[in-house]
Amino acid sequence: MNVTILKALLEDARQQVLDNMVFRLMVVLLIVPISFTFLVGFGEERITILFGMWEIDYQTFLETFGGPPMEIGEVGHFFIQGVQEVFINFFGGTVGIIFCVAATAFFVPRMMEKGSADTLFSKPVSRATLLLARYFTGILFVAILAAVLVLGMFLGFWVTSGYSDPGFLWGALTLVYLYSLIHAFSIMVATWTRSSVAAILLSLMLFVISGGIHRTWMGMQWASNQELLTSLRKVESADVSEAEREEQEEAHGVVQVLMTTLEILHYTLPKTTDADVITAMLRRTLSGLGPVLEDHDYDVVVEDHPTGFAPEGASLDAFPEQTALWRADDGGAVRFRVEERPQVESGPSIRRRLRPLQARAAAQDFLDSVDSRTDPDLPARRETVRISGVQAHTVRWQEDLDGVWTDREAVFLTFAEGYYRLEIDLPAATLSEEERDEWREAFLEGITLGSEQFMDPSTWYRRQFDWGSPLAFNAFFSIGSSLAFASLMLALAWLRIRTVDF
Amino acid sequence: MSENDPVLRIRGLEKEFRAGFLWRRRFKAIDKVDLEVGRGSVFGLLGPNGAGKTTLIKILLGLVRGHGGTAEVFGLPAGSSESRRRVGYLPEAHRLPNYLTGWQVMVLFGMLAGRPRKDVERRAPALLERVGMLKDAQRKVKEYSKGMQQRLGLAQALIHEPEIVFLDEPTDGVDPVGRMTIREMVQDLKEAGVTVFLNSHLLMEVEMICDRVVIMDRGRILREGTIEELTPRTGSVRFEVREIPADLEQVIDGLGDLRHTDARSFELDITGDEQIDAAIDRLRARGVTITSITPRKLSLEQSFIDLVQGERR
Repeated sequence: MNVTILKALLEDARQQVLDNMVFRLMVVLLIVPISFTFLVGFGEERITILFGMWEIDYQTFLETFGGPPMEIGEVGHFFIQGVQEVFINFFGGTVGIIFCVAATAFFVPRMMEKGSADTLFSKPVSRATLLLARYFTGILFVAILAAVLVLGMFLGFWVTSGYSDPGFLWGALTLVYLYSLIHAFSIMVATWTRSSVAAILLSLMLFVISGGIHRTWMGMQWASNQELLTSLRKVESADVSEAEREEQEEAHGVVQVLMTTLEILHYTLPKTTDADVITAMLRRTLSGLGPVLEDHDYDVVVEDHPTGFAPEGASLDAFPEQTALWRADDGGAVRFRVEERPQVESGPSIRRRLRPLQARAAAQDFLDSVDSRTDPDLPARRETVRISGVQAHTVRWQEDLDGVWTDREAVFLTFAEGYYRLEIDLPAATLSEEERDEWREAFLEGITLGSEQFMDPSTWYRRQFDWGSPLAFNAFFSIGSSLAFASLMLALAWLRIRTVDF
Repeated sequence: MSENDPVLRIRGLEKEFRAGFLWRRRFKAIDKVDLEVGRGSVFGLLGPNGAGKTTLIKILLGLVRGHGGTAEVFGLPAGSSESRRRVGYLPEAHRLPNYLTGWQVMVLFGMLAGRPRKDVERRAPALLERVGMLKDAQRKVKEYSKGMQQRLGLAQALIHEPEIVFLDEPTDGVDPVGRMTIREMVQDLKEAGVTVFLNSHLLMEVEMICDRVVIMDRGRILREGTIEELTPRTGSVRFEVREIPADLEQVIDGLGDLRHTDARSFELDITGDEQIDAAIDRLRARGVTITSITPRKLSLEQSFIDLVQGERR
């Protein structure tokens, strides 16, 4: 395409957006959240309103309004992230998108109106180019609004609260991405019907229906996973009756059809509900927030490095294929590894494969083997601890390691698909016994292991969703299939516009 | 393509529209039309509503597709990007982007026609001035009256210096002064070698500015020719005099039938130029002062009505 024509179309898009009344209205509305971030500051200990005119300390605030238990120092960030969530995901990602779809749905019908079309389509510009120009005009419309909102809030939090999270800026891109999917459908409807009303109504229907389908599918996947976890627990604790298992596995024919339909729709329609999951993922990647060790396959998350320890090399990245290893200057070490991964299958084979991996048996075997290495006055002992609500078996003993008396501990745990072993070595002279226990407790609390059974569907889905996850939870697939849907819609629109008579 | 080649060549052009339930109802908008238009002429396209005039223009501009036969503009397939680059178009009841100012409309459409911005900005003021829109160029189109939009529409159709211009009802909604300006502009275009294709219901206007005219009805060409050919003399001559003599009938006795008289004029059915000379001699001999002599012709409107009605009978 000729550069001059491209410039003309860009200029036309800019003018069309800036002249739009809804666009102007929305720019004015954006002042509300942006002003909020400038006028309300979330400091380390208190909320500051109107640059210090009023101040409320978090202690008073939490006592008055309640809130989750957390360190006072964390409350400010908690509020900021809450405000960002409300304005970007809720107002931006739902209400804002609906407004924008309604405001831009007339672009194509108006272009195709008698009189307008004659003037425009008689120019030496291809119909496909003019159609795409209208599509990107809509994108520009939303991109400007999203950029103003996100940048404005980012600056507000930075100036007033001293909070700077560059990952938040991804929010703008995600809003544009979400809108681009719906807008492509709106363009397709508009070319076939030449009606703004039809484009608005059907696009909103798609937005609502696809959101509903994905949430239902997510719930279905979550329920299926819960069922698997339950059956695994039963395998570990007691026998499950064959009849009960068969009953669980047998799905009714109609239900099966519905589930298949849901699967097909989920994989076909644009995955609009993934937009904020993708944002969170990008944000986490960019800002370095989030767990230090995470593995979806084994369902294990370690929130923070053990205090006083640093990860060795790239051992955390190589987990679970290799042992995750942290070391301290005084010779202490923490090792975390997956011993063996049983293949999960339904039926009695699960029982057969998991039984040898039972943590209790493993701990007992280890206790027997370690007895010869311990101080006879301080024999090794087996205890039970709870990690993330799951019972684990631990063997604790003292041992001379290269001339240093060291408190050693080996924790054994089986859960779901994983069989884990955690080893902690702490030189005995470094910490008092009480301090050692506190340290150990703090570290173990930061491990969430096999926690899927306690998660709601949305949180569970976020945990599964990643760049390298299996297809159903794969971020690349989600984006790729959604963009494929948008491309198909644009292709259908082009098919119509290339043959229509004006 | 040589200078003498027609800029527009149509052979056996057909276009059928489908409508109704399952597109079963068919309507032939263009029916085997053959036409050639030479460079630098002003070509009038006449016909009643639904005759196929606008469809014909739209086929030539690529706005209507899927036709039979061939249509070429500058030897290129009609509707091709290259041919459209050399064509200007003012559609009937057009709508310009109302979010733009008059100036921005000129820049947008000039650039869409492939002209660099600088060229467009250099050419636009003169064109806007010519159509009387320069002083309003910075106002938004939505603030314009219908006539102003029409004049701006004409200016945008010419911004890229087209070699052929299609004007569909160009004077629609324009005041008499504006109409005169448009007529003058068409004349200027013709002098500059631009071919003008004029589609208008105002037959007087067509008669005034067109070299050749095509009359269409029901998708077919009924007649094509020059204005002279389409408006033959009726055989009647109108004499305008200072004062009608009381014995007028006796003065012109034997020269032809007296058709109409009023205080200062009369019409005479005369068969040849010799009789006109004889009538002048007799009137002058009687002492009558002749102020004008006009051979009466069939008006284009009458010719058009006679042709269309005759065809439909």
